[in-house]
Amino acid sequence: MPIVLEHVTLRYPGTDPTAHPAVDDLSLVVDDGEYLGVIGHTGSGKSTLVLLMAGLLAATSGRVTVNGADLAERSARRALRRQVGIVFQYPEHQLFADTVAEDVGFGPRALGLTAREAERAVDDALERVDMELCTYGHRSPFELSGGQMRRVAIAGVMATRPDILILDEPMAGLDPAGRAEIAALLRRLHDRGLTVVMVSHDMDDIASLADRVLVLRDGGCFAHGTPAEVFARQTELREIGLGVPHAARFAARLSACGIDVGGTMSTPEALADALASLRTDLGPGREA
Amino acid sequence: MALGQYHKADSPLHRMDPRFKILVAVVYMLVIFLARELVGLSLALVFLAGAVAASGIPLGLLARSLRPVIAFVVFTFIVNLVFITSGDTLFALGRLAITSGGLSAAAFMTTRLFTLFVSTALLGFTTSPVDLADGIEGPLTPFERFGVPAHEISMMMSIALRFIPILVAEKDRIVRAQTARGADFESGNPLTRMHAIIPVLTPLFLSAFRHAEDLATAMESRCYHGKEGRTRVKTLQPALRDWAAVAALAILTSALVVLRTVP
Ligand SMILES: Nc1ncnc2c1ncn2[C@@H]1O[C@H](COP(=O)(O)OP(=O)(O)OP(=O)(O)O)[C@@H](O)[C@H]1O
Ligand SMILES: [Mg+2]
Repeated sequence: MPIVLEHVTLRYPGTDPTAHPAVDDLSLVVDDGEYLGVIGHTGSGKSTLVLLMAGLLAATSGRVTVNGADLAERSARRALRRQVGIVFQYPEHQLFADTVAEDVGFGPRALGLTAREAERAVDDALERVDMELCTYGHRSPFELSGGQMRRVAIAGVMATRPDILILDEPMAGLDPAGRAEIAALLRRLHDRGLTVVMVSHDMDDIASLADRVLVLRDGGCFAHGTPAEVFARQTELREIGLGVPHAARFAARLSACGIDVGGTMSTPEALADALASLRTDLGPGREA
Repeated sequence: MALGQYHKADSPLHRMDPRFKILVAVVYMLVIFLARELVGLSLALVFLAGAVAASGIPLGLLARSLRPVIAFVVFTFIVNLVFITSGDTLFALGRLAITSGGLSAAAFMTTRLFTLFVSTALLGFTTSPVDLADGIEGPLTPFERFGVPAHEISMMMSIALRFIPILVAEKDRIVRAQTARGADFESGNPLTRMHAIIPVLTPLFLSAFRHAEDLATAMESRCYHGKEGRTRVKTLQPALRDWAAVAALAILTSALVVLRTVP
């Protein structure tokens, strides 16, 4: 089991000791190959949680275990760099090299791979994000479009071949086409067996990509389950300032009108299927 | 340095007119060099202690802000101790001699440095960037006649100060991101370490330019066009405490001057 959190608390040093900590007594298991979506209001501790999982912050109390290694130890946190890739908000702001290939190769080189291995890793990573080495490798990362820059930055993280990928609001600030590109990329990576943890404010993205959803509130776990389970709690979510996917809202409206679609649908596809089967249930007689 | 690290609080020092505060701080830093013996230096330290007490800044915070300069202070102490030879020899090791003159020079120099750093830190902690800029513009305005761009200088200062914490946070973010990609900033020889800084510096500069551009656009779209015709939200008005500070400084200065005439 790749990521296990046991009663993890993190309080930033120098913050008000009477307030709730940034992450408050959180227990959680992320399974191999799972796609976990993390949502929560601003300041609920999503980014902090993600830093804990990546070993970039040490928990104040409790235990974080990744791939069996206890992250309380510094050496374990360092070793983790190879296994966990983390993509921060606006990752394109961390691009620095003259060419795409050089930038993507930074991680492999820093981890001490030979030139040849590093090149293979770069080639691989760029191919995974759909930006072929031969076309884009020699270009400056700064002349690419926003969506392309972000894909290069993600490739830079993928180049160290992590088996867990953590993303903090990977779609923020992109246009719809850019968002769709990133969403497709993430789905593809996940289909290839990568464990993914993604923080997002967009419920539709979460619903369409994630297997499981974690809702944080004031640093603690408010809800944890499949998208359908979590988004069924619409009123509660609204109370803590969160929305639900459009499909879920639509399904709720339908059932309020007396049309039972059978549970909560969190993606348009699921809702469409439910509506289609409803049509057949009603029988062909109504069709005419 | 503590400049740009404003610590919000409500204390007499915070409430002081920034023009007076800056003036008192600058004059104080000059006056320290008048102190040549123990009594004078102690008086200067008492003045500083008074300022610290009136600032409401926690001592721990003040001490932390001095951490970066400790090495410099220690270095100064050692250089003075070793290279100034006068008075009795206290300790000798081959050609190296520690003398009483060297010891007292080292002690004086380090204490002076210490007071300089503490007073700058106090100024930074108790004066918001906006106040600092106002406080600088005021005293500079008379020099506009001679071509000193007082308003521009103070505007530049306030922007620079405003951006220090933003860029520090940005740097932390970038360091974290590159660390996660396997960068190592902690080990290796100085040369590899210098090299390791490039992946941080490049994005940091880019982000600084991005901020600068955004700010310029924002200022222009709000019709900023320099000083002409600008009025202030807050007009500065010296209060009793400002004159009290000036008086205290005047007393300290005259005491130090008098002490110097005493053989
Ligand atoms: N470096 C820090 N030092 C002190 N407090 C911090 C720091 N970073 C975050 N916090 C505090 O910890 C809490 C959780 O912050 P966090 O960034 O994890 O929230 P978030 O859920 O990611 O919010 P957002 O949706 O705005 O990104 C907030 O109250 C925040 O103010
Ligand atoms: Mg965040």
